[in-house]
This record gives sequence, C-alpha cells and structure tokens, in this order.
Amino acid sequence: MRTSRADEFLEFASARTGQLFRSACLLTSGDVHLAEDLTQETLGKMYALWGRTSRIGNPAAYAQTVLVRTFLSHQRRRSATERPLGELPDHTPDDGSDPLLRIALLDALAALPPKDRAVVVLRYWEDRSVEETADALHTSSAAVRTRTSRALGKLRQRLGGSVAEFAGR
Amino acid sequence: MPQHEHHDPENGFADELGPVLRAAGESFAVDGRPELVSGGLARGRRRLFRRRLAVTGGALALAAIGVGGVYAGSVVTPPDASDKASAAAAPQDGGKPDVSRTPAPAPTAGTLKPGEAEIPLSRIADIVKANTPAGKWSFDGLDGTGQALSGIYDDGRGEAAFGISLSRAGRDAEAGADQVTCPDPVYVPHDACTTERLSDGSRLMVFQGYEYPDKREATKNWRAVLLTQDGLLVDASEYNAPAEKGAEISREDPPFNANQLRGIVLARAWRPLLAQIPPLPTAPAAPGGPGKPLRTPPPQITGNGVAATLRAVLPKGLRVVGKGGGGEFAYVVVDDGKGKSLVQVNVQYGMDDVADQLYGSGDVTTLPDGRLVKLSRQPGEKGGAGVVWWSADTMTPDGFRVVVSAFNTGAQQDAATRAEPALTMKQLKAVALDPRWTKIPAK
Repeated sequence: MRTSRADEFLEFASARTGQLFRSACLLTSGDVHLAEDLTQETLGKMYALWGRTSRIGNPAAYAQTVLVRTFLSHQRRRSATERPLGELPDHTPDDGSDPLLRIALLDALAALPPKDRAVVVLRYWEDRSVEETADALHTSSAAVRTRTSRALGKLRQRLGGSVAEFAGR
Repeated sequence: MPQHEHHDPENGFADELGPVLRAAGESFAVDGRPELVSGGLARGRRRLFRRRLAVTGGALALAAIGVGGVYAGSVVTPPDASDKASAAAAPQDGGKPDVSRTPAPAPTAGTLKPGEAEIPLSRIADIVKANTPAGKWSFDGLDGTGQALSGIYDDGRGEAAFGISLSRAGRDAEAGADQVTCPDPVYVPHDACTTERLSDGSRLMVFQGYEYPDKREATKNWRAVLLTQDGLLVDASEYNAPAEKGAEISREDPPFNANQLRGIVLARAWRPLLAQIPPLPTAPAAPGGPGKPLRTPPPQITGNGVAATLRAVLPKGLRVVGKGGGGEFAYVVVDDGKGKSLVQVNVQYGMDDVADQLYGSGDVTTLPDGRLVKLSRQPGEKGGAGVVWWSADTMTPDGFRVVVSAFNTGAQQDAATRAEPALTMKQLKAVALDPRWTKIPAK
C-alpha cells in the first residue's frame, strides 16, 4: 500500500502547525493574519522539500528555521515603515497569565527591528543556542550575541519589573 | 558560546523573559484554523508544480535549497550544540512532551546519515584561504565539523559572503549532472556560464548570475561546481554582499573572478576530504521500515521525448524561435508574427495522490473516459509586467498528468509582448489531451 506524499506531509503538518503558528505570532508581534500567511508559506515550502527531508536532520526544527527566514524575507520586501500592531490574541487562556503583560510584551517586540525579534524568538522561545540561531539567520555568532544583548536591553527597558514579577510568582 | 553568557548582565532578565514569552506565545490558539494546514498543502502543491515546470532552470535553485539544508544543521555540527543556553524550558504542545521540536541533536559518528562526514571546518577554511588571494576572512563555526563552511571575505573592496560545501550528489556522477549543467537562460537569466569536462572525467560549471533569477535585488551570485566521477560535489558560491538574501550589496562584483572560483573547487587539497565522505548504501532501505511504508516510485520520463512530442502536437502556423527542456518537461518559444509566446509542458506519472489538490477547485470538467481537465487563466508569477499564464491541466484516473501552459511573453520574467498567448485555451486543451503524450517512453 503506498502512502502518498500528501499523507506523510499532513501527518507532519498536523503535528507542527500549532508551534509554527505560535512562533509566527511572536515574530509578527501579534499580527495573526500575517502569522497565518507565514505559517502557510512555511508549510508550503516544507511540502515542496518533502521527500528530500532525509537530507534535513530534523524537519521540525528546519521548519522553524524556514519560518524565521520567510518572516525576514517578508519584512525586507515591505517598506521600512513602522508596522502597526496587529490584532491581539482572540483567545484568552485561563492559565493565570497576565493579559496586560502579554500585550506589553507584544508591543515591546513590535518595537524591535525584525531581525532582533527573530533572534529573541529563536533563542528564548525556540530555545536555540547562539550558534544555531546564527545558522538559521545566516549570520555570525558574534552578530547574534550583539543583537541578543541589544534586544534584551530594549525589552528590559520597556517591561522591566513586570517581567520579574511574572517570573517570580 | 553560551557559557560566556553567564557573565552577561542581561542574563538575569533573559531567565525571566522565557516564561513571559511562552505565556504570550501559548495564548495564540490554532483551534478553528484548519486552513493553516490545508492552505499550506495547497501552497506546497503550487510550489512543487512551479518547480517542476521550471526544471531546466531549477537545478541551481534545488542545489541552493540542498545547501540551505546543510547550513540548517543536518551536516554542520556546532562544537557545543548540546550545551545550549537553558534560559527557557521548551514550550510544550498541549502539555505533552514534544520531543520533535528540540533542535537537531549534534550528529555523531553513530547518527551521521549515509553519505555524510564530519570534516573539521578549520581544514576546509585552510584550503579556501590557500586557494584565494590574500584578504581578510571570517568564517562561521570554525571549531565545528561538517561538510559546509560559510564566511565573509574582504579584499579591501567590500565584504562578500562566501560558502563552500563538499557533498555527495548520489550514488554516481549522473545524480549530480544537473548541478554542473548551465541553467536555461529563459528560466535563469545569467551573465555567463561555462561548463567543461576534465581529463579525469570530472565535470565543472562556472556560473555568473544573480541571487534572484528575476534580479529583484542586485545581488550577484557567482558559483563554481565540480562534480567528480564518483558523484562528489565541491560547490563554491560567492556574493557581492556580506550576506545572502537581502543584505545591501557591498561591491560591484563578487571578489573572485571565474578563473579564481574555478581554481578553488579544483584544488587538489579537496581530494582527501572528499575521500572521507562515505558512499551511499547500494540497495535502498528495506521496504516497510519502521513506520515508513515504501512508496513505489512512479515511472520517470527521461530523454527528449516530451520536447519532440511538444513540437509535433503544436498547432500549425507557429514558428518555433526557441526550445529547451528535458525529461518530463519541455518548452518552446513560438512566434505567430504577433510576438513571442512561451509554451511549456509537463508530463508526469503517478500524480493521482494529489489530484484533490490539483483539481479540487476552479474550472474543472471530467471527460467521459474519466480524465480530469482544469483550465485556468492567471497572472504570471515571475515578475514580468502584464504577463498572463493560461494552462490546461489534465490527468487520467491512474495519475498520468499532462499540463500545458502558454504565456504572452517569451520568458516569464520579461514583460508581456502581446495581449494573449499564441495558443487559444481550446488549442491548449487539445494539445494537453493529445494521445501522443502517452507514447513517450518512461522507465
């Protein structure tokens, strides 16, 4: 019985789409429409690569890399104008998290340059090392460290104490 | 290195940021967004379809994707890939442990895939330096191992991104043949491209083109690819910008001219490193391996049958002013006296598994013999101003697909040369349904 390329891919996509979409929402600082677009584009690219994925050690991690690159390339095609903050999550989880802090975080992410935002998402959401982040962004480890430091400085300036308070409880 | 960050004054804040970022990320629900997967699949289908249509121009693009995969971590082993910053615990899907989103583990001798090797990247760097003019180099991940190295070179006239990879194209040299074949300028415009066959049977291509075939950015990509008789590739790429994909150009041309680039890939010093890349297993993996049912490959069309048939089935009165293709794909540029028109065809077996994606929407009819016919008119997708793309896409119930497209321009990235393609929709349909396509030899 032959398993179709589409079936195999659907299995992968069903398992990975949630995480890709959430990453995309952070990358776009809450623009869910753009995040949907990026997620679909990423899945589309993965589908086209499917069958050659044996050359890709970890398709799930590679998909996240593709997502970030797709996001950055989308940002470059846009004009340099400040992107308006998109719509906020239409789903408020009942997990004790602070909706105001979430809004403040998305706002603070939106104020970062796209590449700095990508570094923050890869390192502190995707939990990648400096080197893996550098690989994903086709840049040097030194550049990732510089961006990380700059981005954290800006985020701390904007969020400061409220983050510590959230983390401490 | 992550361990250095213990001295980073931002580190305390980074520890606190993780949970907040996770809470924000987890607040975006995918429930009620089934279109994410279905839309992704549809885009993938279109992407694959375009890639197949552009197969003559696709060799370079495909190779670039392959290298991207290499850079993405399957082959490059960062020295401390397992020693990751632990500021944030991995977010989990629905509370279940999600091992698949853990970044790729560092390959070790035990986890290397067939055809992969752990070559110290510093050795690759030394060979690059020894075979290039004096200049300032900065390489990425020099203390790691792998088969691909990227870096930035500056001869004083502007920083330029450079990448080199050593890889196995397949079981024999034939598997890499399309990587040393100049792309058709109808699909990948370029300034120069030469190929040569060396006395030892190796083949070499030196390509001078652009990062983006439609030249939407001025970034040039010059490249030399050597394919040895054993099916091993040495692939060197350079840019006139300090990074790929979107960095501002830093200089008029990439730093190494065609002859220098050729010299890099031809260096004898690569041979011992190439020898470390193991051969692929001679037999395919056992059928029905764990969780992976074997997919019988559909027949493939090779040779010039599609090209010959396309010229035979075209309506009379069209002058052919250009032609190309190979395998399942062919194109002609025709001129009926009113301007050039690109006509291309793909003939594919075994496409029934994606029939729903291909024929699930639009102007689709089913013929009495069960063949599906989809007619579509859409704007061109490769940047040419005013380009329209008409196509007749047909498939038999057992998955034999013929799709014929026509454009109102001689090359998709060029502006329209006429209002409509040289073939009418009715003619396209007749061409696609011609019985002669089924007579093309396939294996």
